[in-house]
Amino acid sequence: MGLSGLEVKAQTRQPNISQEYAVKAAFLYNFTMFVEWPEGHDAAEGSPIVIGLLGRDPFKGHLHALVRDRQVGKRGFRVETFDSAEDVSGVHLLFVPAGEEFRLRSKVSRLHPKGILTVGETEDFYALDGIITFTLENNRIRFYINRQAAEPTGVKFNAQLLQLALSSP
Amino acid sequence: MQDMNWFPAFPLKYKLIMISLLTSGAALLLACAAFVGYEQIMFRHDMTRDLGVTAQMIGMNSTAALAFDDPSSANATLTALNAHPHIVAAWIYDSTGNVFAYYLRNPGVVMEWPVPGDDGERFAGEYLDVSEEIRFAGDRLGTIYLRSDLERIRERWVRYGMIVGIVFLASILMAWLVAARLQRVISAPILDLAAVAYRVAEKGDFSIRAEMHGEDEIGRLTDNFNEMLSHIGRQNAQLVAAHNELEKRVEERTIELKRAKEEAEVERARLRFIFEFIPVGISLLSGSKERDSSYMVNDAYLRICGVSREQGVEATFKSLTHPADRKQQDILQKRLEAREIDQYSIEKRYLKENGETVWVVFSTRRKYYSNGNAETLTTVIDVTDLKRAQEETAREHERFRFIFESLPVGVAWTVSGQEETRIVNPAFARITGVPQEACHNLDLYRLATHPDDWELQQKLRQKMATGDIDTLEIEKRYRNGEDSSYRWAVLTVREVGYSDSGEVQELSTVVDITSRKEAEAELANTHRRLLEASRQAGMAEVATSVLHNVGNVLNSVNVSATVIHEQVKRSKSSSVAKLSELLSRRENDLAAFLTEDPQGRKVPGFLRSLAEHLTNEQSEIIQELNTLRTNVDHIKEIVSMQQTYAKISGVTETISVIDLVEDALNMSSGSLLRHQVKIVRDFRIRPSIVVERHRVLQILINVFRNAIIACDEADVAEKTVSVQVDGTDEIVEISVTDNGVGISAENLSRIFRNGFTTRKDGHGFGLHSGAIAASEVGGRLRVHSDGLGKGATFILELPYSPPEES
Repeated sequence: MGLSGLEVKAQTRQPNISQEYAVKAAFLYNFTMFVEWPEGHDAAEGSPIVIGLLGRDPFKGHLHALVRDRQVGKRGFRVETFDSAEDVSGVHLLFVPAGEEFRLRSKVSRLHPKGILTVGETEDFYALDGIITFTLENNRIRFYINRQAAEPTGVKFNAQLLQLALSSP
Repeated sequence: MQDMNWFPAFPLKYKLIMISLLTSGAALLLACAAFVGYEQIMFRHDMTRDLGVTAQMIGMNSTAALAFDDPSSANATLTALNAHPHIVAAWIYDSTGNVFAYYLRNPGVVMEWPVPGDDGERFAGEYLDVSEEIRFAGDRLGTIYLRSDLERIRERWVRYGMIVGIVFLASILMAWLVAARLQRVISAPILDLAAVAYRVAEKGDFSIRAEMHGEDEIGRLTDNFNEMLSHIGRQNAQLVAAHNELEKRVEERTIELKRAKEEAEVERARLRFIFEFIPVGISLLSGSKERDSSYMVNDAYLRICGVSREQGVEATFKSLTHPADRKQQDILQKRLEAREIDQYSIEKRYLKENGETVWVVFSTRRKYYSNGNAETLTTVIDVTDLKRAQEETAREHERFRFIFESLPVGVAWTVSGQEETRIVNPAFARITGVPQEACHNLDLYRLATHPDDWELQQKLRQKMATGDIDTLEIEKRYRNGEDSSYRWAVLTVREVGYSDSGEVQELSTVVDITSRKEAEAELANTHRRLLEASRQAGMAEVATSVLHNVGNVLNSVNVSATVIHEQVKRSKSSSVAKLSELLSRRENDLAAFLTEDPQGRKVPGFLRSLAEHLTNEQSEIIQELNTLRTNVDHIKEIVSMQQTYAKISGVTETISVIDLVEDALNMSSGSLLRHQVKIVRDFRIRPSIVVERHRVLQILINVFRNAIIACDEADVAEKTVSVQVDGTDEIVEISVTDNGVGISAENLSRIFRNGFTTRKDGHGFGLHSGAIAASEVGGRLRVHSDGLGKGATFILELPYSPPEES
């Protein structure tokens, strides 16, 4: 299932969540639908898609609520939080909130061979070779896709998604 | 084939060709229409499907843009539609129904944007709209709308039109060529037949015959035609003759009809003229309620009711009817509607809009025709003036009646000699005693009248009949019912002639004067009683003065008697007795006593003085008694004088006027003294006249009394009454002038009237009776006064004849 940004804006009525993070949560969810993970990454048919959060939860549980009852095909969702990059495993997508990049220990690329699609929101994160980086353009949330960095993950991007991505900062 | 009226105008040949062409053309058109129609439907279907596919493709390419809220990307996608020349616009709506991205081929063209919910495909106006939902991974992200123009459809129409046109023209041309040849088979014999018929008609020659072409229906027709021609040829001759006759008659008939029509026109115009100018309101209602009706009303009707022609419908007139008259008319109208009556006429009022009331005679008449129609003719005649005049007359009559009935004077009116016309008022009936309803019976009037008066009345009537008098007036008596008493009335009869009719009217009035008569009788009675009273009053006056005089004298008598009494009482006669006793006691020695005794010696002296005294006394008494006797004589004289005056007799005697005046003054002396009135005497002559003494005295006493009262009422210092006696060779005048209140000029003429008085306690009789008495003795009593406050003079004239020298 997909969520349009506008739909998310309309849903954003929960306390303590900025407009920005509500949209970002929806984007995280949408990314899962516009990428394909390589064969073998999904061990079992029907196992959930796991979204990991490194360090703090900037969505304040909103992401959990957003994906709780959703399904893609026969797959559900699960959100997990990790304190350090070493602990991260068994996730499809890892979100690194701003200020939590230090937990990556210099390079994020070590995670990519595990088929983990890393998503951040700072230039630091981009500089650390993060795959998808959120940015603001004209007060609108956009993103970069570092296709080179994504190579090791084996993740295939939908052509439309690539079209939407900004080329480079 | 009525809608092919134009058809017969063509020659048969063309008709046949045209039938062929129309038949083939119609079939061809139907085939082409079916073909083109099917093609178009199919094409529309394809076009819709193509557009749907395009929409789906664009939609799929916009999922990420929608998911990641990137309209610029979606717009870029839509711009790719440039490649499709017929797609004029496209819109992407997000899942909440807002426009997310759009594309307009020509932004200058204003068009309606689709509304979310208008899904599927729609041919709207000159566009075709197609919508597709944008779904991704089973979720609906938004909707795409594509709008195409219908240019392609139009292009196809043009192309098909051209193809059909060419095919049609070619087919028709072919059909024409074929039909032009084939039609001759049928048209040729018929055209021949027509040509023969034309020649027959043109030349009137029924001997021509048509040529036979075959044995089909046309051949038989030709045969029959020829036969008919011969038949017609025979009849034609007869027909021409009949026709000529008929034509002549028609012409005559036409002239006749025209004349009748003109006459009818004149008649109609005349009726119209009458209808419009007659002063009677007319309305004519034709038809019935169920069907169409016409309503005609003339100007007079409108004028009478004060209604304009625009308002003038039947209902208007009905509503103008005075409410008080409506009920009556409604009843009659109902009976008319129920066909109980076919006409009615009433007098009623219209209340005009300007408030005037109009009286009209309203007549309506209904006539039913056998075809169910009815005509109602209503006429209205303005009788307001007549009505007013009637009312005025009625009022006049009422007024006359009221006066006539309530007059206190009896009035009877009749045409002379026609007793049956007599009318009398209640007063006439009451006074004459003949009831109003019996007033035609003259006998009753005769019976009601006192017989003596009837006789006189008849005599006067006779005189009136001969013209000696023109008015009969008589005081007469009418019987008082069954009573034997009568009442008095004045009957006046006057005749008035009318020159134009020759009729003579007689007007009688009768006034009840019973009370006047009674009053007159009563007055006469009173007059008589007053006369009596006056006489008695005169006598009383005389008696009063007599008694007064007697009283005065009696006073002197009393004084004399008292003097005598005192004289006698004081008399010394008792001394004589004492002396006599003394002398008797000394009878024996009388001389001694007289000489020696001292007492005795004084006796002679005493006797002398006594004798002297007694002599004086006697002479005094005698003198007093003389006075007494004189007074008694005086009384006797007074009484005898009264007896002389009181005597009522017509006996005349010759007396001195001065004596009469003095006697009258004597008799009034009491009043004169009481009222302190001074008498001035001025006797210029001293005649003797022959007269009834007591009557003249009565007049003079009255006049004196009057003068005294006049003086008394006036506030004067010295009340004076002067008496003058003067005269001529024929009359003696005794004038009594006072300086009293006087008499006003207007009262001078009335002063001798009976009952006239200016005094509040007077009875107004004194001077009246004085004047009467004066005339009775052959003289008269006059009065003169210069006015109020200037005194008055009453002059009694008495006839005088000087004594003859003998």
